[in-house]
Amino acid sequence: MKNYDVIIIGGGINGLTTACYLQKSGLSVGVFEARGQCGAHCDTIELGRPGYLYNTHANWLVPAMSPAMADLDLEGYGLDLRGTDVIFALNYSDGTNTVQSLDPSVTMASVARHSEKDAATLAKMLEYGMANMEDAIEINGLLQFSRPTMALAERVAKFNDGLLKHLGLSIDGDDAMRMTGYEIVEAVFESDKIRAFPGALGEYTGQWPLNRRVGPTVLGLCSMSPMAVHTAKGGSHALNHSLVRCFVAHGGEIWTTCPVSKILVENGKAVGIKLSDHALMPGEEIRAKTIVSNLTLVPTFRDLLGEAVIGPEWMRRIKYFNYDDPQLVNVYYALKDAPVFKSAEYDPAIQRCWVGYFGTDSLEQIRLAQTQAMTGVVPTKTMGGWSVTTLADPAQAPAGGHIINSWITVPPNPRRWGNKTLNGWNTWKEGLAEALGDSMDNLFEEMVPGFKASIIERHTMHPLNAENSNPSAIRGNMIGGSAIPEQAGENRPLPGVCVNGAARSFIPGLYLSNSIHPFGATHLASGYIAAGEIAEDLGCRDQSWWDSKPFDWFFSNMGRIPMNLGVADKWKV
Amino acid sequence: MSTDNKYDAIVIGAGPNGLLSAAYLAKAGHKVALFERRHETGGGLNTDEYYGFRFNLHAIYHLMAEKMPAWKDLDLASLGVRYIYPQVVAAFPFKDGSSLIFTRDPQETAESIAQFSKADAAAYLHMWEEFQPMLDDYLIPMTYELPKPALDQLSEFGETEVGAKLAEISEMSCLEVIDHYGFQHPRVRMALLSFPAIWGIHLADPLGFLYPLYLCRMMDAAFVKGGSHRLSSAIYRSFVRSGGQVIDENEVTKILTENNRVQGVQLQDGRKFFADAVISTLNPVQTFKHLLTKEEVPFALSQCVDTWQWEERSLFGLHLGIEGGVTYSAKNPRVSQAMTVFIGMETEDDLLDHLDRVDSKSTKGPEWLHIAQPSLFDSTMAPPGHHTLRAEAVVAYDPDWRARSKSFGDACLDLIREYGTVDNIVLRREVSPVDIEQKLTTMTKGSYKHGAYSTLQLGYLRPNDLCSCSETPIDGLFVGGASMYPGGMILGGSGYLAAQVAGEYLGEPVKK
Repeated sequence: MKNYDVIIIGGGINGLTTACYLQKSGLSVGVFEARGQCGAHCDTIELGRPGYLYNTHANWLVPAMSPAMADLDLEGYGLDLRGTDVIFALNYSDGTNTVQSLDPSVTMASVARHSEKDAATLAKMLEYGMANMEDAIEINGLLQFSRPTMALAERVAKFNDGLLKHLGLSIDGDDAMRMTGYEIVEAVFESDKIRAFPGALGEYTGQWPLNRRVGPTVLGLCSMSPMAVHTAKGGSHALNHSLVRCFVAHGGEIWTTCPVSKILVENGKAVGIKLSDHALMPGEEIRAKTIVSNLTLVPTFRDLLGEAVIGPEWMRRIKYFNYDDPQLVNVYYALKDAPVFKSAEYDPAIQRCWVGYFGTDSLEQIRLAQTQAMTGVVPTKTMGGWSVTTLADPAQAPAGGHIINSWITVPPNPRRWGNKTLNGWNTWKEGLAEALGDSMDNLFEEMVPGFKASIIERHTMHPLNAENSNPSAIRGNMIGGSAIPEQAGENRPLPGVCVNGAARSFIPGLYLSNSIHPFGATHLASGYIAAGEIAEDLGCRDQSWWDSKPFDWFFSNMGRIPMNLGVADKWKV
Repeated sequence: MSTDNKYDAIVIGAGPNGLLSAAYLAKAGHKVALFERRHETGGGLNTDEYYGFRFNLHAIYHLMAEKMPAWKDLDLASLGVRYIYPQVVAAFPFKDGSSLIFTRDPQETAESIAQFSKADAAAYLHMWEEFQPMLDDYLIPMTYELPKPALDQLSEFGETEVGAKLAEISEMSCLEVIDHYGFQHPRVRMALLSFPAIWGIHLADPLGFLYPLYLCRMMDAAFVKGGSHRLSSAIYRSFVRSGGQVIDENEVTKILTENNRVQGVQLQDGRKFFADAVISTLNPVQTFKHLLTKEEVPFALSQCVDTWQWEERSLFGLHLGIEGGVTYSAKNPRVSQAMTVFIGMETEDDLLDHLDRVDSKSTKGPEWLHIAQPSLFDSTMAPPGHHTLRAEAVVAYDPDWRARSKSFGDACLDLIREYGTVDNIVLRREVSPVDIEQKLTTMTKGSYKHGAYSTLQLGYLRPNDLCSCSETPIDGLFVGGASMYPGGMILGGSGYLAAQVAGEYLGEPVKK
């Protein structure tokens, strides 16, 4: 078995991103993946009937925002994005809805129908955004795709200062930094329905708005601006495949069914890996000067390094790394027909939207559900996200059929549901997901009359399934570990793990591409950041092709991404 | 990465044969595009992995494994393919608690047979010994050489003693082969006939040359560690590394020709791609009736394709994820160590009657199952403390299969429970012939070998004598799937041969 310049432990999309950048820069890179395929959290599977494709984890893809899109030419390697012109929606129980569109005037009109005051606030936000467009784009890009710094935090605060002042509010940028997402929303908007909107959208980011320091993020969501909301032709796994093809085409090597059991450390430096006894080459040792772990923090430090390497102090500290943020129960449906929302009567634009949320009429209801989920209680009120992927990409179901991927936020260790005492983590073996699936069926029937009659098949995935799919994702956590303030920003994953960077660990030669800033997602930011720091250290950062900026590809190409391919003619404008 | 549309070769269909053709041609330096309708390449080399389980929904163990030329030529080991060869290959537990055990070692097998019949044990060893040179000198190498017309082939066989024996059994049916070697005991005969019968081979048809393959290659069968799809991903990565372009999630709806010469292909969305050579790994009806117009196909060829027979016997699969495992009640612990366990038949007559009932569609439920548990040999197939299991029944196709999938699956479980206990089932899937047909659209009527194995469609006649060596009457168009010699299942054969022929045509041979 040959040695490499760089070994990447774990073939998730961020690890693959790092792998692509480094291989393309001329290094020899080997990726070692425990599963049979790469991209555990971006998978697409036919769970039942042939032709019905379920995106079991990531649904709403955002690689369009990433520098990787252009730097790695992912489109050339088969990543064909698809979307709809209405990019997010919230359906209310009274048969109305609010929609957010790529066309800001549609968004504005939708908001205005509920609240003139909130529409006016939104207009002011957009005004400020337009006037400070370059600054906004640059700040956002830096926030997602570079290491958090004090200077950047100050710049964000200053930007938000201006915005909040422009809105005529008495809070400033520093206040925003200390607020929860919900507090921000309540300060900005006044109507229940419009307040619910950024609350719902916030859940999609995986950064639970209940946390302090999430204020600025949620403030950004309040602007309801155009954003990248895509699926890919053939499903989410097209992202994995494009990264794999790019990597392999440049000479990279991928070893699947190769779980790693140890990071070899000599004289305090990471020098290689040892494969598990279950791997293709049991117990084999492979060397490299640079090791990147795409596993989450605890498996990396507790299992692959161990106390002998990191010492008892670190062993104790990493034990408290938190994975217990709310998780999801996913409910997937194959449908005979496209869902027709009851709120289509109120505003047919909803039928051109493939990602949304429902089950709530106010921010207060969302906050209660989130608080319950954070404290081990299954939310009393069923609410959650839905995506009708086939409206954007009809190829994900046979002709005429449709797919919905929906989810409910739940505590990973449920201890109570209503009056019923539950068994914590073991409850997932007892049919809880199916019961929640039934609740989702009922919610859909309420919002989409005739829904149940349209169901061909239904599947569920719960946090235990997710953890079994990917043991590095403890409790099935989707983003590499909870995004709570003490594990966010410059703290991520924990203070002191990363030194002089966002990916450089305190073990020389070992970098992290997971559990680091910002968090695991399809904008490939963690992988991009890790690649940058490694390339700097190895002296190969200066590549003519490695020059794309965040959002560049999206703004240049958003006009030609196919929209509404699966929307029936009667709903098209 | 180029997104242009002109290639040296285009391959239609990224199942194992298409992948092989593409990989060989790309490795030889040709510019190749590989088109696949589905969202995933691999075709029958499919492993669905979720919730910690890996389910091989089609090919589960491979009969040719490292015998495929591609193993060395593409250095599949360096691309991550590892084969696991279970020592105990097939177990036949009986209702009285006894069982027949077939292993990689003919001596061990003979010892097991001896408990029922010492004469049959000797016959097994004699037959095994006679089969070895037939395989080594003829049957295995021939799998990877272009076929010859039957008469030429037979006369070649006649040149050696081993060949003459092979010629003799070639004209027999599997039943007659078993008679020829003198097997008497009904249980032993049932077991011996099971090996071709599970793959839909009609035991009374004169296909005796298949028997040594189905018996002896079964005794050398292997699982791919991590699941069957690891084999297709390895070939895929070889292809991409050689500069090949995979275009999946795109269906080819037309082969473009002009003046009886291939030009390229057209996709469902209208886009056109051009090439000097096109290899179709689809079935003959798809290639010559759907992808080409009547005017483009010579009349004689069209007539041949009209006579193409689908397989009469397809498969139903019940897939389980089990917390715990399966414990067989058979006295011999080796039953639980077997790669496959066959349950439901006690005698040869049972089996023959069962197959008659399958063909006449008069079975009530599953009567005969062959069960595989890859997780017994490969810990990566299920989470710790869990196992995967596939129970497969030979069944006839009918378009309403899905309506009874669940009850048939329940009945499969009942039958399994007659032979042992099954712990907590946490995941379950049924794959009926209709699912096979809808998922892998080359497998019309659940024909997983693309078409019947009958004397009129095998060897030089597969798919027909106008396309017998991959070349077709249309200049630049080649065939290469399971509907071409040497046939279906994971042999690494037709795709390999098609690449040879197409490579020669393009002026850059694939093997030097």
